[in-house]
Amino acid sequence: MITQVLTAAFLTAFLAAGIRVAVPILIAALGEMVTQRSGIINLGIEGIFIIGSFTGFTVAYFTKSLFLGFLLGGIAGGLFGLLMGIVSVRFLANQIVTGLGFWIMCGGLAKLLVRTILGIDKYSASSDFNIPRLESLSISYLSKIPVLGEVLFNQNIVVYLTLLSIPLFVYFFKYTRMGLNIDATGENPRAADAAGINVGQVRMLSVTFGGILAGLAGAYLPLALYGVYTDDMAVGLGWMAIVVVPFGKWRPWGILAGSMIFGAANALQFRLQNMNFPLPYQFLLMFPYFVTLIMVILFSRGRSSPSALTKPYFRSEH
Amino acid sequence: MKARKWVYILTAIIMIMTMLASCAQQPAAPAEPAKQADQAEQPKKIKIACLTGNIDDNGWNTAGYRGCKAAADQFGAEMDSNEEVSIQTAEKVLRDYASQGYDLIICHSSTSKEAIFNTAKDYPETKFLWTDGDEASGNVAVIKPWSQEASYLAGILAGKMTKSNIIGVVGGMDIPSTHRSYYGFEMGVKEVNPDAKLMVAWIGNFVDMKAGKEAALSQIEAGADIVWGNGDGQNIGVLQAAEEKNVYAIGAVTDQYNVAPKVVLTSVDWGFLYGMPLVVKDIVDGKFEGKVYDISLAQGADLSPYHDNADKIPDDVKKLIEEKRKAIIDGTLKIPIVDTAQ
Repeated sequence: MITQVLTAAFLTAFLAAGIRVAVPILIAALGEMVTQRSGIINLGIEGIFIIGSFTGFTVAYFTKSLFLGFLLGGIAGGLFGLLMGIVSVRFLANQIVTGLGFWIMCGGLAKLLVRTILGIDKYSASSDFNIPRLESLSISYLSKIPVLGEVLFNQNIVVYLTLLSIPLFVYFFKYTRMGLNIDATGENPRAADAAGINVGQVRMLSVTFGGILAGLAGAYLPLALYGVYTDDMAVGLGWMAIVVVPFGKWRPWGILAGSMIFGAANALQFRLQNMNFPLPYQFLLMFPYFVTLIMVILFSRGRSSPSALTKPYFRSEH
Repeated sequence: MKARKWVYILTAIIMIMTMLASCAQQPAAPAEPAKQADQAEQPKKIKIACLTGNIDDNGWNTAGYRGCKAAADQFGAEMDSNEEVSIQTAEKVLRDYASQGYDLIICHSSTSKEAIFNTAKDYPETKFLWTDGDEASGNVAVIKPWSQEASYLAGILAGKMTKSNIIGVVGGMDIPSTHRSYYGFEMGVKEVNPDAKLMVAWIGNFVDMKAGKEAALSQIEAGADIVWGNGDGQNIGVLQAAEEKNVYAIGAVTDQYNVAPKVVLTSVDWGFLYGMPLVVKDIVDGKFEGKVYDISLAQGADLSPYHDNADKIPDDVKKLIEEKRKAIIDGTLKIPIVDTAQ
């Protein structure tokens, strides 16, 4: 078994599978990180995932343009993020309840729309409804490096952009006024308000941004990975993204690590099943979640969540 | 203190999930007497309700929906459909339909036992059909697809077509219907190719095509040169993985050729398209009873056509499969029904 594991081909395939699973989670989790650092938790991103997948797929199916698919998938996600913002910032609604409500609503809405637009009797995930998928772009010299080259430099453009965005997120939160404002709003909205930051506006923008990224992550599934749409295609990814955020301690690199560990554990689990690993398959299916849970417990000391997370802010100046 | 917030949030999620799961049992509104009087005056037109999961999965639910529709069309019945078959919602929907006076309510889910029998008890006049169930009685009939027979033929095909002698099988969940399919498949493989190794992975549900694809890719990368998706929705992922890596694949539950036309040789059809009309026919003829309707190979739970991939299969293999198929139909060859691990 060990000799089977330690070959370059196995490692390459294993890491590539890890990245495949991790990228959509990572994209959505980065957005959720921004949302949460402004003090709002958006539990609806599982639903926004579905909306993004549906919109991305439908637009690409009719226009044959992947770019438009991503664009509108992101916009649709952003709209639902904005809606979440209005409800939780303007109307000070309970964010947990609203988020779960959004999840259920989005799932139902996408289901309804796909049947109305594509036809209830006609539509099923099949080659009749295939859309082209994003090609992978290999970076000529770097992709020749054994194992890592194939894994890191033979991916599609979205993967590169996502990985490149991580230092940008770090920079954004450390050195830009907007980034600092978001953190201030999430830690102590009253102090932020006193310092002249428009708390409502910052939060609204952050939730909308989180929605856009969740929508893009959703669109990534049909447009880059599968080329078809089903109601259940995004199942579980949104929740995973929410879990990865505290796992990464609300930090971009931590979130990258969290998504990758989950992706790798997931890839490993199938490979263990294939080797007739002497454990019932249900335990192996649990493995990625178990690993994530253990890691959260081990590493969750130190930095904790933004202080004002889930707390609606109202100025009560009158 | 702040770390506690997460405990609260996670607890809230769990509580809400639990509530969703337990609040489905609403008392049903009584049937409207006026409606029933209306019906008595007009010539009798059967009303069928069809309860499935999400029907765009090109698998179990698509097959169930199309089976209902075929039955309704064939007998000029009125049909309504609903896709909320999950454990939380099934009973509510079933009661809803029953109270509206539907003659036949098809519940297309093996996990709906309690929902069906609870409802059937309160509506003895309504007929229920439980797909892939394990118990029939009174006004509840069961359709049991004999998937092991076509799976056996698929196993022969896979055993003959593999060159690497590694065959990948991606299952959904290990439940009776997939277990007997797997048993038949393995029997077929071993019969024609004792050296072949079966690589088996289960993904733990029937809907996640992401997991299906990852599992199939991991098998193909480990040397499998033909993969069989023993499930439904996740098969889309399995067949796509085969198409990407250019290895052969076999589908299941319904003809899944159109998922990946380049590589899908055939599919193990579970025959709902033919099974459901049988039940409706019995209702029309007044012969319905709460029994198990076995859908055997002869009744349509057969291998799907090879379509455009027919010439990729050697003639002697096709001939062998045809021989075995005939033997199953005329009863000389019996594939045992093995529903659980021994």
